[in-house]
Amino acid sequence: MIWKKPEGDDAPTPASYNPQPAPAPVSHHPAPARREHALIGPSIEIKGNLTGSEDLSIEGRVEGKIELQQNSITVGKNGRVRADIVGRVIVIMGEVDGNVYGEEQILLRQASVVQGNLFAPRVTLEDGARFKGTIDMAPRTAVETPALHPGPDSKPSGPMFKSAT
Amino acid sequence: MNRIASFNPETGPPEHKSLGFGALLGLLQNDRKISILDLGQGLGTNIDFWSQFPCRISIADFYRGYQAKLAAEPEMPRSMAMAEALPYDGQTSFDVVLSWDLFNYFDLEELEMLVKLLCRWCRPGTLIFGLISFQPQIPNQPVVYKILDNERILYQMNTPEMRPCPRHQPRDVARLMAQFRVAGSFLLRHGIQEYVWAYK
Repeated sequence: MIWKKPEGDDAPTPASYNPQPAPAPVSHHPAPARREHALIGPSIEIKGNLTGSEDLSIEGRVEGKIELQQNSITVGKNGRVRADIVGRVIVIMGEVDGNVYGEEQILLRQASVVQGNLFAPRVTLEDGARFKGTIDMAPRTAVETPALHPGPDSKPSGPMFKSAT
Repeated sequence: MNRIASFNPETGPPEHKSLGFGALLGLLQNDRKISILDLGQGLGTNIDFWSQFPCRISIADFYRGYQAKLAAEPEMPRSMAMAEALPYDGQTSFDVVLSWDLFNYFDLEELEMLVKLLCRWCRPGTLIFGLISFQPQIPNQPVVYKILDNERILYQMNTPEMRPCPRHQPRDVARLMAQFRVAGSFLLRHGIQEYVWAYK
């Protein structure tokens, strides 16, 4: 016997190890894809463009542009964002100064403070949310969406709702 | 009897039938997307109500914005503070302006400035919905109006404190709104006159 199992080691031994993988149980319901989730913590400050393909929570400060078109973005209570935001579902609990584009929905939670224009098929403001700007509830196809990769001249929207029609 | 002043918070905010709001909705064209300027606060209830129409709604939260400008820069001319609180460009136009009870919170001079500003974004047929109070007192800050349905509006006061009402006279209102015709006018039992003005 070449193998000697050290005490306390639970690694499989040749005797107990079965190299033939057991057939996976047949399932008609594919397991839900695991969603990756990134967090920008309260002490983090970012200036620039954020892109990616996982859900994002922001508790810190972001200035620039946030583009996660297929993912959810949450601006937490401590989050301070001065940027345009593009996402699938966007939930805001903190402060946002910029335009927000939601593929499916934008939700302004109680005590959120938002200044900018909102574009989404569904927009919900909870009581206590403070909002100033324009809401366009047209479906995404009818909404002008921001360029995926803006040119060098692009910058976060400062003055808001310059043209409402 | 001053119904707003005697409102009991324990029984909940008073709900009123609004003939003026119903008239406003009856005048809206449903064949195209409408553009709405709400000079009041952004409320989820109202956004939900308007979402049944193809529309674009701009929330100005005008009174708080204007007061904040004046508080930050007391020397700023009032017309400039108003313009900064309503930063829409010359390309913008609205089909509906909801001024709610804001007219009760300005003197005639300020109202002239405000109406002149609003006219920049009006086109023929633009409708303004406003409430003029004839009560001796009004809440210290504009009332928050929640749209319940086509003819019911909930009055929600942010403060129990009251202030004297300017009680703008009909002749002053008519002079102020000279560029508009009255498309609807309803005196409600609690001493508030609802107006729907249409830009000529």
